Amino acid sequence: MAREQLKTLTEQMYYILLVLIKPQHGYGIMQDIERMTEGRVKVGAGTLYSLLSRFEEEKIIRQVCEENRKKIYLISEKGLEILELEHQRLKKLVFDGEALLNEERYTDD
Amino acid sequence: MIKKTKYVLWGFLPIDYKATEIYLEEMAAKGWMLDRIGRTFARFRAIKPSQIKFCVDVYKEGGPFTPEDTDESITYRDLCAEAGWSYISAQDYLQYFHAEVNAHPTPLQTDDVLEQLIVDSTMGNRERLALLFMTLFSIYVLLKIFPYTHKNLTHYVGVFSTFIFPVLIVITVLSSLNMLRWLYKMKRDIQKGYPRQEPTLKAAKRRAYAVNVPMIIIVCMLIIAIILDAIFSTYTVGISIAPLVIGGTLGTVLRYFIKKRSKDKSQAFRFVFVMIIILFCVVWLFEGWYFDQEREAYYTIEPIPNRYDLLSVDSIFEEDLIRRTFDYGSTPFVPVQYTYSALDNQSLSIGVDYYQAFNLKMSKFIFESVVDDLEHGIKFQGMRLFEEEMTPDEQLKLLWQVDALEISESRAFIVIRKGDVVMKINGDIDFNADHIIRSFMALYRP
Repeated sequence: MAREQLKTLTEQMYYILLVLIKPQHGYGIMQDIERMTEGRVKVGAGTLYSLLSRFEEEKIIRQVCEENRKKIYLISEKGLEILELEHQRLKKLVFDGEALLNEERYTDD
Repeated sequence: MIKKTKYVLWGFLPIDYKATEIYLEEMAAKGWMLDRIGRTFARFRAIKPSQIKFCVDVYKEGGPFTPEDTDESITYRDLCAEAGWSYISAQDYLQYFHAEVNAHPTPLQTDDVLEQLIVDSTMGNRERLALLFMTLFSIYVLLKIFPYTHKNLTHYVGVFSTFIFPVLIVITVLSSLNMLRWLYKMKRDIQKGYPRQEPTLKAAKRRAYAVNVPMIIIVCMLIIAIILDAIFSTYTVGISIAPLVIGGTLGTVLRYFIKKRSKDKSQAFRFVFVMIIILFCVVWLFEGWYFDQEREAYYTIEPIPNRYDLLSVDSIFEEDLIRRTFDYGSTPFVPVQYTYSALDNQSLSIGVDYYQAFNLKMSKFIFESVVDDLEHGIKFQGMRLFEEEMTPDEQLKLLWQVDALEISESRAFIVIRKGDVVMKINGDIDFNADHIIRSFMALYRP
């Protein structure tokens, strides 16, 4: 069930994995996402904690070290594959959108 | 003197955790800040009335058998603290946080679907199981009450279970079924992808009352009934409630060690293992002590209080008594009742159960029930033992000058009713003999 759901990522999942291309700890992830999206996407601490545990369980990310009781995570090979697939999917969405939206609009006249 | 702390009965269902945020905000506005939350009570400390924001989060690694402060839960709380939420207390799956109202921290949960899945897989399942168990257990208890026998009327716990228990149980079953319906509807809605409707404080309070009020009444009435029974039979009541007290104490100690003294689940399981061993030892010691008491008490001649004159029955024995027991009680339905049994050194034994009912109708019911009880004997491992065939005897009835009389085929038991008094008499004695009849009828107090 959980694996099935990860075939498409939610916006928050996508950004968490994107941030974890570089090693980062929990609060750093939250700050990076907010900065990257200029405050448009916010991830709550509870949601982040649940997602990090789930990603770690499914070996999508791994813990690289622990500093001052803060766990530092990094995306895994499997996670990168999922992220790239999602990136491709999103690009396709944008491409399809652009193709249609840039066409001449149909009007009643 | 200004009160610095106060305890509030915490009856909210865990599933209504979102509504408790509003409640806690209202309390803070009134000058009471949540300090600690327990299973039954929440402790608040006095503060200057303030606008404080609360967030109750579902921590899926929590639960009733999970230590409160594991490394994982501390890491999670640290993360929440960095995000602007200060930790207050935890209770099973729920973690309580607060923040300054002007700080505008990001809510702890920003993914509704994920939150709903966590709620459903943790508290939803637990709540459904608990309610289902409560419903089935209540129905089982209700069925066990019927049919009523005279024994229901001879002690306060019985009287309480006869007249008040069924009403309260029906209320409990109905409210549990209603709650179950609500929880299953919520589960279906989540599966269908509908957003979960956040409970209002009013609805949460209503659910809390529906679950807790009948339970509180049942527990209070049961305690009162036990105290009233203990006035007459302190030892018997003490022995009956001892397993409950031992179990409750060990359970509380175990919970303390799991929640406060364990750092991880494996340590908690070690505590459970140690507690099981302690439980076996306590049961073994208690059992030994109980049988020693019974053995010692077997050859004792218990005193009979002055107001219960049983000298006439004692005088039937020609030899010295080697054992005599006497238990008595009183309820509004059977104001005078006692059980007497005695044995002499020639193994002659006599037993009397005396019931003075509060009216004639009640005495007829007791008479029928005592006869029925003898006819059915004792149920043991699926078998019925000591069944007696009881028949009315008109000749004996005239001889004893009573309103109703039935005698067993073995002629070891007779049950008589005269006015509102019922007596069950047993012994190796001649129930036709004049002196025997006089001895027992001397007990009759109209």
